[in-house]
Amino acid sequence: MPDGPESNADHPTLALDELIHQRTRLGILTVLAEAGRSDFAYLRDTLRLTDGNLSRHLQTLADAQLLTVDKVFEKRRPRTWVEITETGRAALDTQIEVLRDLLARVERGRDHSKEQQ
Amino acid sequence: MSSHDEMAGVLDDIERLRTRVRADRRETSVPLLVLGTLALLSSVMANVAGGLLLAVPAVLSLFGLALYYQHRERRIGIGTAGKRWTTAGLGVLGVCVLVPGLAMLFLPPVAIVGIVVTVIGVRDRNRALIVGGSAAAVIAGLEQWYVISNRFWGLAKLVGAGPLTWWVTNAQQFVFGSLAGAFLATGVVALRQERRRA
Repeated sequence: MPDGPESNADHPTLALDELIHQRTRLGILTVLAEAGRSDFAYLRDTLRLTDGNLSRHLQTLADAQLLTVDKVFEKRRPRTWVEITETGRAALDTQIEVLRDLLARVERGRDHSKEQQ
Repeated sequence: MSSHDEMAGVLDDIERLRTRVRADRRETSVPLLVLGTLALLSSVMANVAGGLLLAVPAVLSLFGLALYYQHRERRIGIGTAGKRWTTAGLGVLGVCVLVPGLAMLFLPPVAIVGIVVTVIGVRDRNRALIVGGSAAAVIAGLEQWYVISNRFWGLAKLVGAGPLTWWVTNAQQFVFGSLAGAFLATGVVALRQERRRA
Protein backbone atom coordinates (compact mmCIF):
# COMPACT_ATOMS: atom_id res chain seq x y z
CA MET A 1 0.00 0.00 0.00
CA PRO A 2 1.50 3.36 -0.89
CA ASP A 3 0.02 5.32 2.03
CA GLY A 4 -0.11 4.97 5.80
CA PRO A 5 -2.81 3.33 7.94
CA GLU A 6 -4.92 6.50 8.20
CA SER A 7 -5.82 6.14 4.53
CA ASN A 8 -7.28 2.62 5.05
CA ALA A 9 -10.66 4.07 6.02
CA ASP A 10 -11.30 5.20 2.45
CA HIS A 11 -9.52 2.31 0.77
CA PRO A 12 -11.49 1.16 -2.31
CA THR A 13 -11.71 -2.46 -1.11
CA LEU A 14 -14.24 -1.21 1.45
CA ALA A 15 -16.42 0.04 -1.39
CA LEU A 16 -16.62 -3.41 -3.00
CA ASP A 17 -20.17 -4.73 -2.90
CA GLU A 18 -19.99 -8.31 -1.58
CA LEU A 19 -23.27 -9.16 -3.27
CA ILE A 20 -22.14 -8.48 -6.82
CA HIS A 21 -18.44 -8.97 -6.21
CA GLN A 22 -18.96 -12.63 -7.06
CA ARG A 23 -17.74 -13.20 -10.61
CA THR A 24 -20.91 -14.85 -11.96
CA ARG A 25 -23.20 -12.15 -10.56
CA LEU A 26 -20.94 -9.50 -12.02
CA GLY A 27 -21.26 -11.31 -15.37
CA ILE A 28 -25.06 -11.47 -15.12
CA LEU A 29 -25.30 -7.75 -14.41
CA THR A 30 -22.82 -6.96 -17.21
CA VAL A 31 -24.88 -8.87 -19.78
CA LEU A 32 -28.10 -7.25 -18.58
CA ALA A 33 -26.62 -3.75 -18.48
CA GLU A 34 -25.55 -4.11 -22.09
CA ALA A 35 -28.68 -5.88 -23.35
CA GLY A 36 -31.25 -4.16 -21.13
CA ARG A 37 -33.21 -7.40 -21.00
CA SER A 38 -32.30 -11.01 -21.56
CA ASP A 39 -33.99 -14.36 -21.39
CA PHE A 40 -32.84 -17.15 -19.10
CA ALA A 41 -31.39 -19.29 -21.91
CA TYR A 42 -29.23 -16.48 -23.31
CA LEU A 43 -27.76 -15.75 -19.86
CA ARG A 44 -27.18 -19.45 -19.19
CA ASP A 45 -25.45 -20.06 -22.54
CA THR A 46 -23.42 -16.85 -22.55
CA LEU A 47 -22.15 -17.31 -19.00
CA ARG A 48 -21.89 -21.12 -19.34
CA LEU A 49 -23.88 -21.87 -16.22
CA THR A 50 -26.24 -24.64 -15.24
CA ASP A 51 -29.96 -23.87 -14.83
CA GLY A 52 -29.82 -24.34 -11.08
CA ASN A 53 -26.74 -22.22 -10.60
CA LEU A 54 -28.13 -19.36 -12.67
CA SER A 55 -31.49 -19.55 -10.87
CA ARG A 56 -29.81 -19.20 -7.48
CA HIS A 57 -27.77 -16.18 -8.57
CA LEU A 58 -30.80 -14.54 -10.17
CA GLN A 59 -32.81 -15.05 -6.99
CA THR A 60 -30.06 -13.42 -4.90
CA LEU A 61 -29.83 -10.44 -7.24
CA ALA A 62 -33.62 -10.12 -7.49
CA ASP A 63 -33.91 -10.14 -3.69
CA ALA A 64 -31.50 -7.21 -3.63
CA GLN A 65 -33.69 -5.47 -6.26
CA LEU A 66 -30.81 -5.31 -8.72
CA LEU A 67 -32.91 -7.05 -11.39
CA THR A 68 -36.44 -8.18 -12.05
CA VAL A 69 -37.51 -11.65 -13.18
CA ASP A 70 -40.59 -11.97 -15.34
CA LYS A 71 -42.02 -15.40 -16.11
CA VAL A 72 -44.33 -15.41 -19.12
CA PHE A 73 -45.86 -17.80 -21.64
CA GLU A 74 -44.86 -17.31 -25.27
CA LYS A 75 -46.51 -19.58 -27.80
CA ARG A 76 -47.73 -21.74 -24.90
CA ARG A 77 -44.19 -22.20 -23.63
CA PRO A 78 -42.86 -20.77 -20.37
CA ARG A 79 -40.10 -18.24 -20.76
CA THR A 80 -38.17 -16.25 -18.17
CA TRP A 81 -37.10 -12.69 -18.97
CA VAL A 82 -34.64 -10.89 -16.73
CA GLU A 83 -34.29 -7.12 -16.69
CA ILE A 84 -31.76 -4.97 -14.88
CA THR A 85 -33.07 -2.22 -12.59
CA GLU A 86 -31.63 1.28 -12.23
CA THR A 87 -30.24 0.20 -8.82
CA GLY A 88 -28.55 -2.76 -10.52
CA ARG A 89 -27.06 -0.58 -13.21
CA ALA A 90 -25.72 1.88 -10.62
CA ALA A 91 -24.31 -0.95 -8.48
CA LEU A 92 -22.50 -2.43 -11.49
CA ASP A 93 -21.05 0.94 -12.49
CA THR A 94 -19.81 1.51 -8.92
CA GLN A 95 -18.30 -1.96 -8.75
CA ILE A 96 -16.40 -1.51 -12.01
CA GLU A 97 -15.17 1.90 -10.86
CA VAL A 98 -13.93 0.39 -7.59
CA LEU A 99 -12.17 -2.45 -9.42
CA ARG A 100 -10.45 0.02 -11.75
CA ASP A 101 -9.47 2.17 -8.81
CA LEU A 102 -8.02 -0.85 -6.99
CA LEU A 103 -6.13 -1.94 -10.07
CA ALA A 104 -4.68 1.55 -10.52
CA ARG A 105 -3.59 1.58 -6.86
CA VAL A 106 -1.85 -1.78 -7.21
CA GLU A 107 -0.09 -0.60 -10.36
CA ARG A 108 0.99 2.63 -8.67
CA GLY A 109 2.28 0.56 -5.72
CA ARG A 110 4.26 -1.69 -8.06
CA ASP A 111 5.81 1.30 -9.85
CA HIS A 112 6.67 2.83 -6.46
CA SER A 113 8.42 -0.39 -5.33
CA LYS A 114 10.41 -0.59 -8.57
CA GLU A 115 11.60 2.99 -8.16
CA GLN A 116 12.76 2.27 -4.59
CA GLN A 117 14.75 -0.76 -5.76
CA MET B 1 -10.01 -10.34 -5.13
CA SER B 2 -6.57 -11.59 -4.21
CA SER B 3 -4.25 -10.27 -6.87
CA HIS B 4 -3.65 -7.70 -9.54
CA ASP B 5 -3.91 -10.33 -12.28
CA GLU B 6 -7.24 -11.55 -11.02
CA MET B 7 -8.69 -8.04 -10.92
CA ALA B 8 -7.37 -7.33 -14.41
CA GLY B 9 -8.87 -10.65 -15.53
CA VAL B 10 -12.30 -9.73 -14.17
CA LEU B 11 -12.22 -6.36 -15.93
CA ASP B 12 -11.13 -8.07 -19.17
CA ASP B 13 -13.97 -10.57 -18.82
CA ILE B 14 -16.45 -7.72 -18.33
CA GLU B 15 -15.19 -6.01 -21.47
CA ARG B 16 -15.34 -9.24 -23.48
CA LEU B 17 -18.88 -9.91 -22.31
CA ARG B 18 -19.95 -6.38 -23.20
CA THR B 19 -18.47 -6.71 -26.70
CA ARG B 20 -20.17 -10.06 -27.27
CA VAL B 21 -23.59 -8.92 -26.06
CA ARG B 22 -23.32 -5.68 -28.07
CA ALA B 23 -22.55 -7.70 -31.20
CA ASP B 24 -25.49 -10.05 -30.54
CA ARG B 25 -27.89 -7.21 -29.78
CA ARG B 26 -26.99 -4.87 -32.59
CA GLU B 27 -28.46 -4.97 -36.01
CA THR B 28 -27.90 -2.16 -38.45
CA SER B 29 -29.06 -3.46 -41.81
CA VAL B 30 -32.84 -3.23 -41.39
CA PRO B 31 -33.01 0.45 -40.29
CA LEU B 32 -30.67 1.36 -43.17
CA LEU B 33 -32.83 -0.56 -45.67
CA VAL B 34 -35.92 1.21 -44.31
CA LEU B 35 -34.24 4.61 -44.68
CA GLY B 36 -33.31 3.66 -48.25
CA THR B 37 -36.87 2.63 -49.06
CA LEU B 38 -38.26 5.88 -47.62
CA ALA B 39 -35.74 7.94 -49.60
CA LEU B 40 -36.69 6.00 -52.73
CA LEU B 41 -40.34 6.72 -52.05
CA SER B 42 -39.51 10.42 -51.59
CA SER B 43 -37.69 10.33 -54.90
CA VAL B 44 -40.58 8.70 -56.76
CA MET B 45 -43.20 10.92 -55.15
CA ALA B 46 -41.19 14.15 -55.09
CA ASN B 47 -43.43 15.93 -57.59
CA VAL B 48 -46.54 13.89 -56.93
CA ALA B 49 -47.29 13.95 -53.22
CA GLY B 50 -46.65 16.21 -50.30
CA GLY B 51 -45.01 15.46 -47.00
CA LEU B 52 -48.18 14.43 -45.19
CA LEU B 53 -48.79 11.56 -47.61
CA LEU B 54 -45.20 10.43 -47.08
CA ALA B 55 -45.71 10.64 -43.32
CA VAL B 56 -47.91 7.54 -43.48
CA PRO B 57 -45.13 5.21 -44.71
CA ALA B 58 -42.71 6.95 -42.31
CA VAL B 59 -44.87 6.19 -39.27
CA LEU B 60 -45.69 2.71 -40.59
CA SER B 61 -42.00 1.99 -41.10
CA LEU B 62 -41.24 2.95 -37.47
CA PHE B 63 -43.96 0.58 -36.23
CA GLY B 64 -42.69 -2.02 -38.69
CA LEU B 65 -39.19 -1.66 -37.21
CA ALA B 66 -40.68 -2.01 -33.71
CA LEU B 67 -42.42 -5.26 -34.69
CA TYR B 68 -39.29 -6.55 -36.42
CA TYR B 69 -37.09 -5.84 -33.38
CA GLN B 70 -39.64 -7.36 -30.98
CA HIS B 71 -39.67 -10.51 -33.10
CA ARG B 72 -35.85 -10.54 -33.24
CA GLU B 73 -35.59 -10.06 -29.47
CA ARG B 74 -37.89 -13.00 -28.89
CA ARG B 75 -35.79 -15.08 -31.29
CA ILE B 76 -32.33 -14.28 -29.88
CA GLY B 77 -33.36 -13.65 -26.28
CA ILE B 78 -31.89 -10.19 -25.63
CA GLY B 79 -32.57 -6.51 -26.17
CA THR B 80 -35.12 -3.79 -25.59
CA ALA B 81 -34.98 -2.03 -28.98
CA GLY B 82 -38.59 -2.99 -29.81
CA LYS B 83 -39.85 -0.70 -27.04
CA ARG B 84 -37.70 2.18 -28.30
CA TRP B 85 -38.97 1.92 -31.87
CA THR B 86 -42.56 1.70 -30.60
CA THR B 87 -42.07 4.82 -28.48
CA ALA B 88 -40.48 6.60 -31.45
CA GLY B 89 -43.36 5.56 -33.73
CA LEU B 90 -45.92 6.83 -31.24
CA GLY B 91 -43.97 10.08 -30.82
CA VAL B 92 -43.80 10.73 -34.58
CA LEU B 93 -47.46 9.77 -34.97
CA GLY B 94 -48.32 12.22 -32.19
CA VAL B 95 -46.37 15.03 -33.86
CA CYS B 96 -47.99 14.28 -37.25
CA VAL B 97 -51.48 14.32 -35.73
CA LEU B 98 -51.05 17.30 -33.41
CA VAL B 99 -48.83 19.59 -35.51
CA PRO B 100 -48.85 18.20 -39.07
CA GLY B 101 -47.98 21.53 -40.66
CA LEU B 102 -45.00 22.12 -38.40
CA ALA B 103 -43.65 18.59 -38.74
CA MET B 104 -44.01 18.35 -42.49
CA LEU B 105 -43.11 21.94 -43.36
CA PHE B 106 -39.75 21.86 -41.70
CA LEU B 107 -38.82 18.21 -41.90
CA PRO B 108 -39.74 15.59 -44.49
CA PRO B 109 -40.49 12.07 -43.23
CA VAL B 110 -37.07 10.68 -44.25
CA ALA B 111 -35.47 13.34 -42.08
CA ILE B 112 -37.81 12.59 -39.16
CA VAL B 113 -37.01 8.87 -39.35
CA GLY B 114 -33.33 9.84 -39.77
CA ILE B 115 -33.48 11.75 -36.47
CA VAL B 116 -35.12 8.76 -34.76
CA VAL B 117 -32.43 6.43 -36.15
CA THR B 118 -29.70 8.83 -34.92
CA VAL B 119 -31.15 9.04 -31.40
CA ILE B 120 -31.50 5.24 -31.18
CA GLY B 121 -27.97 4.87 -32.61
CA VAL B 122 -26.60 7.14 -29.86
CA ARG B 123 -28.43 5.18 -27.15
CA ASP B 124 -27.22 1.87 -28.58
CA ARG B 125 -23.70 3.20 -29.25
CA ASN B 126 -24.12 2.10 -32.86
CA ARG B 127 -21.88 4.25 -35.08
CA ALA B 128 -23.42 3.06 -38.36
CA LEU B 129 -26.91 4.12 -37.25
CA ILE B 130 -25.62 7.49 -36.01
CA VAL B 131 -23.88 8.21 -39.34
CA GLY B 132 -26.77 6.87 -41.47
CA GLY B 133 -29.50 8.58 -39.46
CA SER B 134 -27.79 11.95 -39.31
CA ALA B 135 -26.93 11.83 -43.04
CA ALA B 136 -30.61 11.13 -43.83
CA ALA B 137 -31.77 13.91 -41.49
CA VAL B 138 -29.34 16.52 -42.83
CA ILE B 139 -29.63 15.72 -46.56
CA ALA B 140 -33.41 15.26 -46.58
CA GLY B 141 -33.87 18.27 -44.27
CA LEU B 142 -31.84 20.50 -46.60
CA GLU B 143 -33.57 19.10 -49.67
CA GLN B 144 -36.96 20.00 -48.21
CA TRP B 145 -35.91 23.58 -49.05
CA TYR B 146 -34.29 22.56 -52.37
CA VAL B 147 -30.89 23.56 -50.97
CA ILE B 148 -29.11 20.70 -52.74
CA SER B 149 -31.16 20.46 -55.95
CA ASN B 150 -30.84 24.22 -56.50
CA ARG B 151 -27.10 23.64 -56.90
CA PHE B 152 -27.97 21.71 -60.07
CA TRP B 153 -29.12 25.05 -61.52
CA GLY B 154 -25.72 26.56 -60.96
CA LEU B 155 -24.07 23.47 -62.37
CA ALA B 156 -26.29 23.61 -65.48
CA LYS B 157 -25.24 27.22 -66.10
CA LEU B 158 -21.62 26.28 -65.58
CA VAL B 159 -21.69 23.47 -68.17
CA GLY B 160 -23.91 25.44 -70.54
CA ALA B 161 -26.96 23.20 -70.17
CA GLY B 162 -30.45 24.67 -70.33
CA PRO B 163 -32.74 25.00 -67.31
CA LEU B 164 -35.05 22.36 -68.79
CA THR B 165 -32.37 19.68 -69.03
CA TRP B 166 -33.74 16.44 -67.48
CA TRP B 167 -31.21 16.32 -64.65
CA VAL B 168 -32.06 19.92 -63.68
CA THR B 169 -35.83 19.48 -63.76
CA ASN B 170 -35.56 16.18 -61.90
CA ALA B 171 -32.88 17.34 -59.48
CA GLN B 172 -34.88 16.53 -56.35
CA GLN B 173 -35.61 13.00 -57.56
CA PHE B 174 -31.91 12.65 -58.30
CA VAL B 175 -30.93 13.77 -54.76
CA PHE B 176 -33.41 11.45 -53.01
CA GLY B 177 -32.60 8.67 -55.47
CA SER B 178 -28.88 8.92 -54.70
CA LEU B 179 -29.64 8.91 -50.98
CA ALA B 180 -31.83 5.84 -51.46
CA GLY B 181 -29.13 4.07 -53.50
CA ALA B 182 -26.50 4.77 -50.84
CA PHE B 183 -28.71 3.49 -48.00
CA LEU B 184 -29.93 0.41 -49.85
CA ALA B 185 -26.37 -0.53 -50.87
CA THR B 186 -25.03 0.00 -47.33
CA GLY B 187 -28.01 -1.92 -45.91
CA VAL B 188 -27.39 -4.90 -48.19
CA VAL B 189 -23.67 -4.95 -47.27
CA ALA B 190 -24.57 -4.76 -43.54
CA LEU B 191 -27.15 -7.54 -43.99
CA ARG B 192 -24.57 -9.83 -45.60
CA GLN B 193 -22.07 -9.13 -42.81
CA GLU B 194 -24.68 -9.83 -40.14
CA ARG B 195 -25.73 -13.10 -41.80
CA ARG B 196 -22.09 -14.19 -42.11
CA ARG B 197 -21.52 -13.40 -38.41
CA ALA B 198 -24.64 -15.32 -37.38
